[in-house]
Amino acid sequence: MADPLPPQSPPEPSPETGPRDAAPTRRWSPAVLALIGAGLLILLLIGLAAWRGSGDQDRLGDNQNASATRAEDPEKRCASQRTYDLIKRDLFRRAAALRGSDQAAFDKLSAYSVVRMEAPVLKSDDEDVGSVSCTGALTLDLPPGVAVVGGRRSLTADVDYSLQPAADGSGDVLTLSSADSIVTPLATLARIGRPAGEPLTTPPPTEPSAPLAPIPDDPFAPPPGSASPPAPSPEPPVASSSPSFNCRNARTRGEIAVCGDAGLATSTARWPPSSTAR
Amino acid sequence: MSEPVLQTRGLKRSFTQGDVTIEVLRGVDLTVAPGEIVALLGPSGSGKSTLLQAVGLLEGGFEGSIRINGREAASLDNDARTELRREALGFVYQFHHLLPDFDARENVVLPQLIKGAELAAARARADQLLSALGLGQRLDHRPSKLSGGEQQRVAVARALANRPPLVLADEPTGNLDEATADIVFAEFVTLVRGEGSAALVATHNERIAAKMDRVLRLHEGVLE
Repeated sequence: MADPLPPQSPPEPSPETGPRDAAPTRRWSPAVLALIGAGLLILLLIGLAAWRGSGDQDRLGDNQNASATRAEDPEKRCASQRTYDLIKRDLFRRAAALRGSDQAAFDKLSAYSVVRMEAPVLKSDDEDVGSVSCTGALTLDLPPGVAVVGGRRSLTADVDYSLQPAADGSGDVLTLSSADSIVTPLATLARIGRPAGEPLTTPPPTEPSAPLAPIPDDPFAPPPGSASPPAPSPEPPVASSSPSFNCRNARTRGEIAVCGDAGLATSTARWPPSSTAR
Repeated sequence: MSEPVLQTRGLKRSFTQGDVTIEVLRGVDLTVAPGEIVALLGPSGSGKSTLLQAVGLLEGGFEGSIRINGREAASLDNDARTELRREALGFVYQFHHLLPDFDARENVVLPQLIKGAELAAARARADQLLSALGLGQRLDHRPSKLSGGEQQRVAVARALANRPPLVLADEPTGNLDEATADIVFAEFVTLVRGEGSAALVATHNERIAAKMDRVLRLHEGVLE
């Protein structure tokens, strides 16, 4: 039997030819090797940067929130726009909870409402936990096209509120009290309208001094595919979809939004502007 | 026999501050039948207000069972408790807690609208209740323009506006002078009976308690 072939092995370079002449090693030129190395290095750097970036981003976010919260002057924290936005959202959330429905619509309308605070006063602050307690005269201005009982679009209350950094670094946690004078009537929020036959006694809505975006389309409409829950009242509401002004003359963004929004009629029927509106 | 509007079993509540734990309610078993007006009598600190807070679903932290209108309330989440409060309970406090920016009628209309009533019906109901309480000429007066007795009458009308099966009243005439308190309380009882509601009224006034259907005495967190 013939001997098996000897295992192949690269030819040993002869002293005359040297490595330059060895055929296998010539497949990887220095330029290719340099390119591959550079590519690997770039990939490594990108990966490292992404890893460090994501890790630091969270930490920086937390630190930024926490340090921003803690470093801010306590009095300025009482009067910051960020605080007022928290208060506004809490008012609408509580009103929707009290009403037991329309949470999504209240969330939308919250974004189109304006909160003002007169004479915000720092009552106390705790540097250890970064909390502040404040008080002030709060006014909530509703956007055109909606109002609460009596046709009011402005609600006021002397409120107490405290802020404390969230444990997860997501910002401040608000505790609001003495806000019933706003929350309770806000739970009656409805589109401005009037039932058929009732004389118009309230002037049409006008644009507020603060710039407001138009009301979103149909904030009180049920979400797609869901039926609105039956009204708990034993007295079914009288349907009426007439806004309290002539839609042919609608000019403000609020009026236009209301006129283009048939879905609000359901809420309109709950209460038209009363003759006692002030 | 009809189902009680209120039934508690083994109701307990304690407060802890530091190393000290105070047991305010120590297992209260209580039943109120439909249309019954029950006095909850006891000295200050006996746990009357805590008991009303519990059955009014205004606070958590209680042990035991609370059934309101046949519905077990102790295990409900916040939204369901709010709904049950809205549907089944009316409240009258020692202080009227009327909304200062709204007139008497509007204060009575508000809870009806929140419950879903139509405005015209809510206003008619408010006018009916306030007129029955002698406030027919004060409908558009704000709370600051009303006397203490009138303010409390508006609070009574507000509590009854949604025809709740159960009214909870915590010293409802405690802020009034004796003569006015007697008048307002008599009107309260008349109105509650007329509406067919039941009431649980916390008071430390023996004379007022004696005018009710039944008197429960709360002493150191237990009913005697």
